[in-house]
Amino acid sequence: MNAFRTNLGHVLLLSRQDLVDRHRENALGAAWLLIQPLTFVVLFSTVFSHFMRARLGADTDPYLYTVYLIGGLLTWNLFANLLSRLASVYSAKSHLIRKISVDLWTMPLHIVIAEWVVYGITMAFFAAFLLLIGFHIGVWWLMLPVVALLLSGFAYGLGIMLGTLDVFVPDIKNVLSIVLQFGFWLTPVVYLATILPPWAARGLHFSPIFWAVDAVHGIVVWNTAPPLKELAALAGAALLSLLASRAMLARLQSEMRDML
Amino acid sequence: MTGRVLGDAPILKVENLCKQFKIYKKASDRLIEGLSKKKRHRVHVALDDISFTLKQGEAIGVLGTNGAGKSTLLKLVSGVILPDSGTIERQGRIAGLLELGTGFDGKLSGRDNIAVNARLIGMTSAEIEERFDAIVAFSELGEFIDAPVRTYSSGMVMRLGFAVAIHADPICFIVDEALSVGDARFQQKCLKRIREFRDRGGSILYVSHDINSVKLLCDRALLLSNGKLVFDGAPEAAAQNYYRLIAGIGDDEPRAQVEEGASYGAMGTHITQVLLSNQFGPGERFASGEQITIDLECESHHDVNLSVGILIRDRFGQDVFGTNTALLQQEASFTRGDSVRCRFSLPLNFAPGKYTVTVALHTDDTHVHNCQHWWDAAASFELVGFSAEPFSGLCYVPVEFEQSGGMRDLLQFKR
Repeated sequence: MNAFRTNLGHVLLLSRQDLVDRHRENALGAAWLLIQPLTFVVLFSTVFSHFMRARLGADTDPYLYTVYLIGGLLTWNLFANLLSRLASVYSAKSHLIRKISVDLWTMPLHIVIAEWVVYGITMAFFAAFLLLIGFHIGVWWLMLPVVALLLSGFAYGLGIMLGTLDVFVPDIKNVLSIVLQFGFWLTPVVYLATILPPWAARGLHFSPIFWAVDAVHGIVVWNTAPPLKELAALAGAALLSLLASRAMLARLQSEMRDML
Repeated sequence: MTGRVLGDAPILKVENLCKQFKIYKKASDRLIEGLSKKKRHRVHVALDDISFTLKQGEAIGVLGTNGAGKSTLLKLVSGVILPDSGTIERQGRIAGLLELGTGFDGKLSGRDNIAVNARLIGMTSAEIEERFDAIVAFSELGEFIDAPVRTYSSGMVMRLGFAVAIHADPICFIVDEALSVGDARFQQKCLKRIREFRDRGGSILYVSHDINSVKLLCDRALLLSNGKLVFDGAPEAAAQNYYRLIAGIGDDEPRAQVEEGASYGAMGTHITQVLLSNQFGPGERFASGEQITIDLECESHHDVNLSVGILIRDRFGQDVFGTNTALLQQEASFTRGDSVRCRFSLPLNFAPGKYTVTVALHTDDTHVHNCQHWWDAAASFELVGFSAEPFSGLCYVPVEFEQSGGMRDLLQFKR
């Protein structure tokens, strides 16, 4: 119980540092936490709704593609940010791990909290933009946190495994940044899944990231319920990745602490 | 006081602790070994079958040469690294002074960093709030507390770190040579604070090369050598064993050098100069057995009677001989604004070698009481050759020899 409280304390402290203290020296302080997501939403919505006027299928709604793009991009960014930050979490926090007894499996939770705050703020601006253009916000939006949670669970397990390996082979970070770029273009974020050749489209059905992005697209763009099958598969993938990361940490934790 | 455990369960119980480190030539060797299952490392045994218990209110010193495994032991005890085998049972909050300044963020002010650091070492918000002023006061940072920590000198950072750690009020402190914090006066303040902590019932695990501070602070001492626990017992005996150990390692190198010229104390009365002379005048090279004088020039800001002491240490930092006026049942008196010369005359009945002279002014018979001035290695000298008859061993004692017919007369008394 005491250990749990200490771990929780560490996680909260680190996420606070990540969100607030990082901006302490700036004149605008934590306002930067709002400015960045706001810029993102404003920029994408104006560029793609007005200048590019890219169109989505036969639909003539100028905003449809913008909504599709931002919805997918936010989901992808959540995943990619979590993964790349988790992959370097142990080397980045080695100054703490060397000095105090921290729980290696729960400590990286501070990254999830920090990224969720950013995701939530951006989502709020996104929703405000949708209201502004009179786009329909359906009841399925309530399912968005569930999708984000499952996707984060998947990213957490995967990120911890990569972070563990990164301690032994620091090249992991570089490899990951390349893999993430491929992943971005392999996932229908900028384009529609329907433009893919059939074999590639079939391959997509094995990607947990696609399950999440697809569910978000359904909720945000077409106001449909996320397909149960995909949600269940995503939950399964999250569970598997979390369990695997625990097992891996248990095996390598001692050597890892020696290395740091 | 918070967080004290009642009853006499040990605060720390270490059993059969073993720790090895795998040493790889290159980081990638580790990966290759993992993939090919072919051994590419050599094993360094850092700790081998260590067992001990630390009870409440007990202070244990850990002695050992460099590489003996002291730091590994402390890291294991504080949970930073994990043992290969063996168990460590801990009771309650154990704060390590190896955590000095953990997580300090250069961009934040000292004030903000106190909150972060205190939380990291396990204090609650209420405790931080309650002790905040005391921490700031102890750190002596004054107005700098609101400046970013990156503008601090290293001494200031350490002072702040120590101030937070000492106020964490854990059940057990782990101190790793941490008393090299700040200037000598601040070190004394820290040492005093640690002693108070112990007197209130706190436990301490103290690692240091400074044998005297171990003797001063600890009830018991462990001696580590090459990862093994070779001695567990009274600090004096541990120190003896330690000397023997380092003496055995290499006679020609001084291992436990006393820092030259460390000087501290209240300085109400202080020593300005120390001079060694023989019959021909001041010098630094004498012969073993030669009669010399040690003159201390002292200045005082008060009218006071104090005890003046000298301590001669050999090249290992071992106390060879010391005395003071209290032990000699004399008194030295000082008058305000006057400079006074105190003279000790003695024969240098020690083996050839290098020695230092430490001098002190204090009340009563040890420098723990109202230390006005303690000056480590204020002077040094070398003994070359013998002025009287040669001898073997560390020191000379007067000996007489005679010869007579048989032992019968002596043996009569023995019965």
